Amino acid sequence: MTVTARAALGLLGLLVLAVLAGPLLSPWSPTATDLTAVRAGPSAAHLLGTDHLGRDELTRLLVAGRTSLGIVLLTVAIALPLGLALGLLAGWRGGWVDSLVLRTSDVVVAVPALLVGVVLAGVLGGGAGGLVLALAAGSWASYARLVRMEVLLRRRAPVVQALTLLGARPGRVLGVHLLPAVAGPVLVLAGTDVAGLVLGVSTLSFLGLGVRPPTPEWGAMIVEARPHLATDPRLFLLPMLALALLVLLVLVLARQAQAWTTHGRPAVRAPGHRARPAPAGRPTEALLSVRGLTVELAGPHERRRVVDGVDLDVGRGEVVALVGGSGSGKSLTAAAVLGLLPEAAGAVAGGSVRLAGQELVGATERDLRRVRGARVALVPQDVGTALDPLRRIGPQVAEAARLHRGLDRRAATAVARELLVWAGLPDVDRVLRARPAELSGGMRQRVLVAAALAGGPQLLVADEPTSALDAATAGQVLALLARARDEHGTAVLLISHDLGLVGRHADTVTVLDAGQVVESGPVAQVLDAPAHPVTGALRDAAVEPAAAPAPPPGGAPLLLARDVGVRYPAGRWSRSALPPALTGVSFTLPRGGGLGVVGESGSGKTTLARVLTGLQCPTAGTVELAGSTRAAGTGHAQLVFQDPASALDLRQPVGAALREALLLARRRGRPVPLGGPPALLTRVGLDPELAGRRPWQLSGGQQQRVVIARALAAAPDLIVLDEPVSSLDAVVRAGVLELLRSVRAEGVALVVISHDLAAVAALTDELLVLHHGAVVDRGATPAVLARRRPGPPGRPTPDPARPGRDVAAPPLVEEIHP
Amino acid sequence: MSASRPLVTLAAGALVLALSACGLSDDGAAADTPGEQVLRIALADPEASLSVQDYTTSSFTVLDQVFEPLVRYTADGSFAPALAESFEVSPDGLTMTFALREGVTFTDGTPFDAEVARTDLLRWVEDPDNSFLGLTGVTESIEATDEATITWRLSQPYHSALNELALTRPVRFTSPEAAGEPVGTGPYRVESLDEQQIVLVRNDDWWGGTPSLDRVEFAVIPDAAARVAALQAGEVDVIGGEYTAPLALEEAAALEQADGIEVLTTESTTNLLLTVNADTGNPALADPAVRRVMDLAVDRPGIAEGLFEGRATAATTVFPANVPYGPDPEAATAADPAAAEELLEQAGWTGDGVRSKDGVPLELDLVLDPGLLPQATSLSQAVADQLGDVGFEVTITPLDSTAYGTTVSARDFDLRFYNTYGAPYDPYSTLTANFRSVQEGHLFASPELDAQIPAALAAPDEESRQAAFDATWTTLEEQTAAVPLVQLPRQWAIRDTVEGFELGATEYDLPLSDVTVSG
Amino acid sequence: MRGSWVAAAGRAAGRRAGEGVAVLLVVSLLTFGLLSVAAGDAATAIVLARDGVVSAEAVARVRAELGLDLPAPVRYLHALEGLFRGELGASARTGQDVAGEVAARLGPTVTLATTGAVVAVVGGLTAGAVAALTRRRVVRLPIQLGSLALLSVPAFALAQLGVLLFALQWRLLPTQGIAGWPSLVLPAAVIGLPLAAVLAQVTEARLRSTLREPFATTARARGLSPARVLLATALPNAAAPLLVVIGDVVGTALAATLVAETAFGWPGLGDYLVRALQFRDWYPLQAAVLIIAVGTVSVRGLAGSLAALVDARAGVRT
Repeated sequence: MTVTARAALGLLGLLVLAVLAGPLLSPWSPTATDLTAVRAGPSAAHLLGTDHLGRDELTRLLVAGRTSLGIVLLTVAIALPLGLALGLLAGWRGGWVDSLVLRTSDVVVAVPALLVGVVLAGVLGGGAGGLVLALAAGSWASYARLVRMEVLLRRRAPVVQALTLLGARPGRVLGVHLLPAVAGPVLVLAGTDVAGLVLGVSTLSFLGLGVRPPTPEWGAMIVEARPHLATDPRLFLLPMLALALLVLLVLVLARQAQAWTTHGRPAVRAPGHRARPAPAGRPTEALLSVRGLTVELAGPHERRRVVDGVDLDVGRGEVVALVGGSGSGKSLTAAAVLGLLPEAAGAVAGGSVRLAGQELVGATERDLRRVRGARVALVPQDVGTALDPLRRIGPQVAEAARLHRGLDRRAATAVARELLVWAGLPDVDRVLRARPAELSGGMRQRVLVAAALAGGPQLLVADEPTSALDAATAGQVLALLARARDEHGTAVLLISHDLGLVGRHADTVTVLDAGQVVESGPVAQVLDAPAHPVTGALRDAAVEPAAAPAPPPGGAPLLLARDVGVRYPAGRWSRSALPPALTGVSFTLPRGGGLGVVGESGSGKTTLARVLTGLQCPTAGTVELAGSTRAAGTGHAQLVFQDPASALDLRQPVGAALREALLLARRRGRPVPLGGPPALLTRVGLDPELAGRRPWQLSGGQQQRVVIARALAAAPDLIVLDEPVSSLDAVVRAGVLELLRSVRAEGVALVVISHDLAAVAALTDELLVLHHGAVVDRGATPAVLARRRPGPPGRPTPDPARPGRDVAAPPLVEEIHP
Repeated sequence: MSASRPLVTLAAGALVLALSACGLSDDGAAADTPGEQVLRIALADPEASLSVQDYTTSSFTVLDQVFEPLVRYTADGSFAPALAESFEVSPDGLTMTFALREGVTFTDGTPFDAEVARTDLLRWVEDPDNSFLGLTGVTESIEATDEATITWRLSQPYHSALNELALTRPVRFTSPEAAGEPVGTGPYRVESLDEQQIVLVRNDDWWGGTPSLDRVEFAVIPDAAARVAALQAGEVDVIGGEYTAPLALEEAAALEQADGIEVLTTESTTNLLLTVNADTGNPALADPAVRRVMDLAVDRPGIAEGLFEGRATAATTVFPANVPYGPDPEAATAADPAAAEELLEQAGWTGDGVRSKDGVPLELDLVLDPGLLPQATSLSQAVADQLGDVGFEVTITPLDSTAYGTTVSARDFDLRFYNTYGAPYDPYSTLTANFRSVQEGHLFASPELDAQIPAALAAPDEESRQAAFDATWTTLEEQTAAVPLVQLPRQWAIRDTVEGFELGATEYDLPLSDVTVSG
Repeated sequence: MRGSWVAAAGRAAGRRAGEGVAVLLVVSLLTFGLLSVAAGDAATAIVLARDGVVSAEAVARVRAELGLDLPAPVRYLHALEGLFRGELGASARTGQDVAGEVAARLGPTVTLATTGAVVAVVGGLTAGAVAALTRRRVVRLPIQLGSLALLSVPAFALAQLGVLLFALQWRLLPTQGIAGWPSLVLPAAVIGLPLAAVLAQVTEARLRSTLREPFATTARARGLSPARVLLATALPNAAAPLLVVIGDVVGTALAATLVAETAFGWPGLGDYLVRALQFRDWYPLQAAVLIIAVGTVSVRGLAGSLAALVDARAGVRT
């Protein structure tokens, strides 16, 4: 809690206490007039003097606070649950219920509060009761709108899907899981609402329709003091200040609550930068020379050192790989090289980063701006979000050229065009005018490389440039970087967790672990004879796991898909129906079998996962699981998601999540595994001690194991895995794959949907290739993989003649989507 | 940059729209030509039209500039000639003869003569809507005996007839050619009228000479505090007047200390009363002892001094002494809670806290319209507290004007405040309308008053008239028909650039013909 | 593609308009219901203003004249029928045609609300952007404290203080009225500044979270200054949620004219509404409420559509 928040809370507490204890503190009655002592100044008897009727001002202020707070809290007590219930209903049910709630809230906004006030005063005789009802009638709408929005955003979240598959009814999903999730924003809104209501009560008093005199109320006190403003501003200002103080404190607390609910802990201010002078006498022929780099982040209690004395050199025209597992500090090292450490985390760097002799640690923002894009450029990690979704590609690529090479718009666009052609993008003129959403992932990554080169940098920092791409596209991108080096002499600092992949493209490699360099040297040397166990683990993880176990002797097929098709209705803004998401998909899967599904993004893989688990009904064909066409909620089929954190309720301890899954399975009459949560955790290779932890206290790998454990709790016949390992680093990935192999060995059938061909190879024995929703290739996994990859597995061969088209991977047709 | 541009364009567009707009004009500030004599007066309520022929206009002082009566009420209670150069009432009180001023024309050029006058008088005399005016009931005939003489015959003596003829609406004269437009004979004519202001310009052909002001602008400022600010800022020259732009007493007190502002205070002819609904209110109010107790419990000097800044005078009678045939009030004394409690005990109202008798608690509902009487909210709290001290419980219910009117006429309340009409209506109109049982929505009625009031109005001579009125005053006091509180003063505030400004004889009139503005 | 996209947008707008009409009908019905249960009616108000006292007979006569003696549902249907013919009826208070009266008052209100909204939007976006851009306390603290203070003081008190300081103390602005541009400043500020404070807070939060997006980092890595990143990248990307808030803010500005017009003697619709209410004058009340409701609902709807449009451009499925 920050000082501000603590002070605000303390003051608010004092204020509320004073207001509650007011009548006890003061010997005066709030309504006792004394016309012989009107508007007397402060005295020992009347600490704040008396008002225009000779009443004790302090007493009236305190009692007025009680009036305001009482009315406001009662109002919230009515409006909040009502709004919550309606919002949940609207967000969950959607359709006409949603429309009704939304339009009703429109009506509430449009009916003048003044009219309600007049009716209240005239018909109900004014007073607090009617006031509370009137305010609540207007106040529920904002809660309903907020909760509706939050529920709408979460309704299709993986965690909801997972719970549905476990057999949870909507009541449980909403009440136990969604309601706590929206508590944060609702709390923030309640703060704002309380502030608004205090003002609202006083405004009704201003119009003469609020609390009835002589009950003191701040707004009424302000109004009654208006004629005396010139002669005795005290009577006007005191209630106004009291009112403003209460509102201010509530607003400050609401803001703090907002900060907590949106980005966890508030940021700590960073201390000044410390630059360590480069050791003298050392030859600095290297383009980039990093010496003793340390990076510290502001933690909840103390500062954590996450990069600790890293030394690193990149020569001109050299490709250097910086490799390490998650949390090893490699991305922060890259950020430090660009002078882009995350401000919000309060990151601060020490040591020295010299680019062609220029010190970057501690350089001014202005100096850094001249370096960024011009001399060192970034090829960012996530192609999905690294381009501005609203701007056209052309200006984004041309930006660095305009900024650093002094080119005008036309010349810069020419440069951009040239670079895009160079990067192997088809139909460049169209790409220049396109927005990022219209491009495929591979195209976007090439665009990003082109944009990075536009400023003519000497060094490219490529931060995990391939982790979101399938192997084929990843190969193309790495080849592109290599070409940049070859043709432009650009040095590359290649950041990755995949030693096997980047090792093939780098000259030297530096291995980081826990913020420190554990090993460094030429690629061949490090790969062949790792000197440090971490390096060994990273290398081994990159090696393909053994082939999938042979399918157990068949019997009746477990899963039977017949001619499955899915077609989505047209979108809100487009008249033409979308092309079908799936057409004519048929296959069978025996108990304990393993089926792989591959295809580029948008090929219908995720839709297939939803259809197979019963989350979605096919619009054509049938899916039969264990002899039934109804799968969802039976526990027979479970789904494991790419991002385990999104599939878990972050507020629920791991043990409780597993217990819930077991409970739901038991209710469904599933043969649940014995031993409860501890046994499940042990089963997936986790310490049973972790049962008390919450998901956000676990690593990504541990989270994915928890998700698998929860799926196992339902004793499923089938687990559908949607990119189960693509968000994990290499070492962790290997462990999870091993776990899944053992799950399958126990007789659970797996459907593995992934662009990670190695993972598919490790877990399945049959493979479907999807393209535009249709099966374009199928067969035994090794055979299909062999057909689709000319080189050895995982080793794309660059084709120097046709950059970007180097992998024979039809049907990877890249086109601009309409 | 491209995508941020629409936002900028949007904002700029809105600004242009706002600035180019619709509705804003510079007329008000720019129209004054140098050397012109312009007086700016604040007006509380906008008028949709100016008319004395119906009751839609309530800005009496504006009407007074445009429309004139036959006779005017003067400060000493006598009548001065206006459109009637002279007038005569026959000894039997049954014939009134008015000699009309000659050469008078309406501002549209139509001559004002006896035939025009007669037609206009019959317009309101024969309209049942105006039955509250006694003349509508006692008029036998109105004749134009020659071009400049009106002879008015009555069926019985009606000695407050001249008071009624001095009123503003519906009795003053409108041009027969006016066709709904505000055309009168007064010193000013209407140049423009809208929701923001009413502009009057000098009537150069006025029979009374050339008015000194070229223009009179009535600026509509509904909020009382805003009017005070406007006067201080010099945006208006005059504020005040119960029927123009009421000035609360505490505001007047504050303005007295402001630079360049003069506060004019004159004794009024009205008393502020706390009235009781003895007929259909809490049955306790039918008990004269309870009403007497309220009279004892109310601290008049305290209210006059503490609440009204010493600007009001404590009142002990329903009417102030300065109305015609008025009572002779004794000096007000402070509240006597001990006597009040003793009286209540004797009358059988007992108990701690809220007293009760036969299961009827002394719980009273006080309704008020803060818009009608600016100090009502403060006053009600003081009164409620003082009554609370002797064992009443008073609930205060503020209502908006229509709800208040409805509640009052449905007699669905126990207590309310009432300010008497004042000159030229009183004491006749207040007595007739509010203290007779035949009148709906009366304040208080008793068989004694029902007999005494008509007798006083129809008394044939001065002596018997005074005696009849005195008997009425005694009854009002003995029965505690209402609890008199204070006599509020008439308050106006003017900027010191205004010279020759004097208050009219009544709050309904505002003589402006000799006012000049310097600087 | 573009043509069908426009047509689809048209259809969506059509549906919104349909829903809007339904909302307005309900608002009208609710208003009528509330007005008819309020104490007193226009006839009472007329008799009251005329005679000072209310006699049942006089009220009954006026009621018959005005047609107020009919049962409430019948009167409402009459009014509704008139509305569909495009007739707004006549005011019981003034006897004038409501359409003319409303037309005269629409200009001032639109001027005031628009200026207030411009103050809110320009001020809120600027302050929010500045606060999001800098880490310096000297800049952020005044913005934060200022916006909190503006949010903590009731509008009517703000109006009073504004008059005290700017009109009476420093003689910079007129205290009230509608004469010339200076008279617009205080009422527009009273409407706009608290809303600007709301918008500034939302803008700052939204921009900060957008500036944390990878594409903002990419842009900075190209050497763009923080200010340009903010203008060229963060602001447009935060536009969709901000547009929704701006819609609310502009809608609220329209409703906020009620207090400001009362406090500053501004002869607009808010003032008209208050008077109609006082007089239980149904036709003027209905016209004022419906116009304010149309304004609020359509501004919100427009902002929502624009936000959806921005999202659609970004390829986000809504």
